[in-house]
Amino acid sequence: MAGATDEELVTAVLAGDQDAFGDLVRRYQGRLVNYLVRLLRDVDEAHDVAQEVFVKVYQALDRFDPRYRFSTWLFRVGQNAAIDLIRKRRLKLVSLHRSDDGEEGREWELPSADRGPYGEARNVERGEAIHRAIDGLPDEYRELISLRHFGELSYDEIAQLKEMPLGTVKNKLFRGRQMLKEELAEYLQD
Amino acid sequence: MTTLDHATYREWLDLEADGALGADEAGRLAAHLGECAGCRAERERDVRLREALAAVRVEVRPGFADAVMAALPEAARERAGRPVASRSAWRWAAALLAVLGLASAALLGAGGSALAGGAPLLESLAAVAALLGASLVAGAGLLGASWAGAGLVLGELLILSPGTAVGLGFAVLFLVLLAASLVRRPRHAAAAARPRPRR
Repeated sequence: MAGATDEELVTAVLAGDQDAFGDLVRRYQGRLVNYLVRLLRDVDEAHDVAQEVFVKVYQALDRFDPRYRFSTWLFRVGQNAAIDLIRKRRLKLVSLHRSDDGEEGREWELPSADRGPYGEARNVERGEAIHRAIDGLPDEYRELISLRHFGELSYDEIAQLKEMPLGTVKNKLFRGRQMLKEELAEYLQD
Repeated sequence: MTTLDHATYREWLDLEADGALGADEAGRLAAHLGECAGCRAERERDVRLREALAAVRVEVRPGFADAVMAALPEAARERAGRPVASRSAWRWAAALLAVLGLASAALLGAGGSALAGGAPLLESLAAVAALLGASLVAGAGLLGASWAGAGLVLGELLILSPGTAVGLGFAVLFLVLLAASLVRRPRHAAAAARPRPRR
């Protein structure tokens, strides 16, 4: 059912075709995992949370309202799960270190696909610079940049998820990307 | 056609890089790019920014989808709201009852044969069955008597204190509804997922 829409796949799952849910998982796994990596800054945790999110969504599928998009629902569940985990981390940090230092001080845990020590170091440096630049954005821009460039949601999907007018989404994304271009100028040259 | 400032073209460039620019605007932008080196350079930066953002995306773990699918059978049972072990628990209880019955019959048979010199096992089984039957009859009788007693008490209450009886009725109704809602609620807290996106 590769060409089926999300809603058709959901209908098929509810009719008993569990494989159709596999199609939904494969369709969204990369986008959800990458969005969660952005939020959680940890690749392994992002995978674990993504798996929990897919299972939660499957359990609640019979309550899915087809008037809405599956993608926005999935990402809302993912966002809630990530926020819960971040809260737990903060509680743990506070209780262990009696410190209020939460996500701000957390290092990025990212793999590097580049070969060779020089390429790897350069890649890691650039990756960290990009994530730091996104971290430095105001909340309202950072969230939309994460949804657009890591969750790969369309403008319409972001507007529905964030309950914002489409024009506001376009405007905030534009401003956020302008800031990123300034911050990452040295990495965007030839 | 009105002349646009560079700020508008920059916004259009941004939308174009996302494939979200309308055909009319795209045509006007292309015409402008033909004569504006600054906007052409900006377009390059827009493209590079997207490439840089795409480059930090991670690959999904091999076998991730399979791991999700393997976790689903359990989730499916929970979605149906049935306790996972209920059916097997009943089977175990039935098996235990059968084993106990057979063991009792065997013991009765052995004891009987020792006393009377060979009472058959079938008679012992019949005795156990009769015992179970008597228990059922006694239980039903007890239940009937309880209901009759409750009826008498309620009758007395209705005559002596109708307000108390009505209050008691509401309390019973509330407890029944509460029990029904608890039984219908899925064990897993799927509701925490907030499945319905708001508009």
